[in-house]
Amino acid sequence: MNNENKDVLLAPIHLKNPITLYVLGICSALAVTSKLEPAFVMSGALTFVLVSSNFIISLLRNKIPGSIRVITQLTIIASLVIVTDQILKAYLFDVSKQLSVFVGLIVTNCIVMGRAEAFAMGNPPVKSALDGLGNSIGYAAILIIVAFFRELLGSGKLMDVQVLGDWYQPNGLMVMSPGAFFLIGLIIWAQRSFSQELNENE
Amino acid sequence: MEFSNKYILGFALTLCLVCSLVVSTTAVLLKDKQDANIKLDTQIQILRVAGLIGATDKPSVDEADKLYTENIEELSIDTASGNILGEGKLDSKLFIKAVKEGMPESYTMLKVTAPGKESYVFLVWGGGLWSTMYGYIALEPDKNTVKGLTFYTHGETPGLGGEIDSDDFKDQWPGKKLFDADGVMQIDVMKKGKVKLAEHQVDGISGATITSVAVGELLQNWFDENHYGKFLTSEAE
Repeated sequence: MNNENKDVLLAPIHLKNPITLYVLGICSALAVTSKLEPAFVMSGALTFVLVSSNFIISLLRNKIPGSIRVITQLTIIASLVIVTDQILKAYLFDVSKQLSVFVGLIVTNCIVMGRAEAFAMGNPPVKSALDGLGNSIGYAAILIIVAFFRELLGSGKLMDVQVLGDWYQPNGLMVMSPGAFFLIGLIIWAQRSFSQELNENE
Repeated sequence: MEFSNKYILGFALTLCLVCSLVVSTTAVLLKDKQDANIKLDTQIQILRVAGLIGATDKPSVDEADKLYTENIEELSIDTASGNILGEGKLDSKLFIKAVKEGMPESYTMLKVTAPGKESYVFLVWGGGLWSTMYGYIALEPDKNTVKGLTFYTHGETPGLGGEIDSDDFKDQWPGKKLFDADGVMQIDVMKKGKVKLAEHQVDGISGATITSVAVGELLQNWFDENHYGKFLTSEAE
């Protein structure tokens, strides 16, 4: 893999993270992170949708008329999302019950539309797929970190297994959406302290 | 790049055609599997609330189906009189839709016939804080004592209202009585620590007052005379 492709794949994980740097995809980051399991499945679903949508849209990029560009992207993304939702309902029924509407809402996930419009429309397919993969990993990383702390502190469990003993009084705030906001805020703070170049100049 | 109108129309049509083909093919191919999942899920919930399997047991499709058909009769009940009309068919989706227009003239009740574990199982639901909570309640053969209550779908806050499906909450129900000796409905969910009638009331969930109150209300609603109540006071069994 040459350096450029490497950069396309790795940058979204840290320096160009879609959630903590561009604050995209926040809706699902709040909604599905109260436990680890749905966070994993949601990440998997988004990875599938984002990689394939980037790939398909990039393949068609010279054929898509500019005047119906956005609706074309949306149609492709929506079809992929419905297929994903159907597969989850058939093979991961319990988790799909927990995720309920949020798989369907991948259609409106800003990361997917954003990457299609900003990257896949102007780059070749493989590179676009890599970009999709990188952004999915960046998204998944934040989701899983947030879900880890929310499940641990909010219910004393990890993957539904009790890890903290009876002495631990679960923190109700963590299972509510604001808990995710606090955690994402803390992650952004930690990330910017660690990589000073992310800070905007005054 | 400029495209002619003809091209744009053609492109849009082809795209729609391809996408709809892909979506409908997946939907059709996976339909059986999905229906089987829903059926298995329903059966497991009913078997659990009736105490035929443990709360965490996950029987296979065949096991669940066998247990279900061997031990459970689906009976059609006349709402106004509470009499058994004959064999029924539980279709919760259809029933939930019908109740939106008012309680239908008849409904399906599940009679568990397993020796020593006889009970009656009813589908109940009601609005919580965010969502509609759907569940099953099992009553002992005396048609008054609760054997179990479980919610199989709800969208209450995880960790707060969502605790209605936790063991701590569920374990409180067995043994509670719907009516007192005078036939007055007493079952209710109280604020935690405020239970006065231990025979009828259970502790609510702290931090989830609205969900807790809603659970009490939905039970009172379902077992009044206009819903399942007539069957309880009738001679039918």
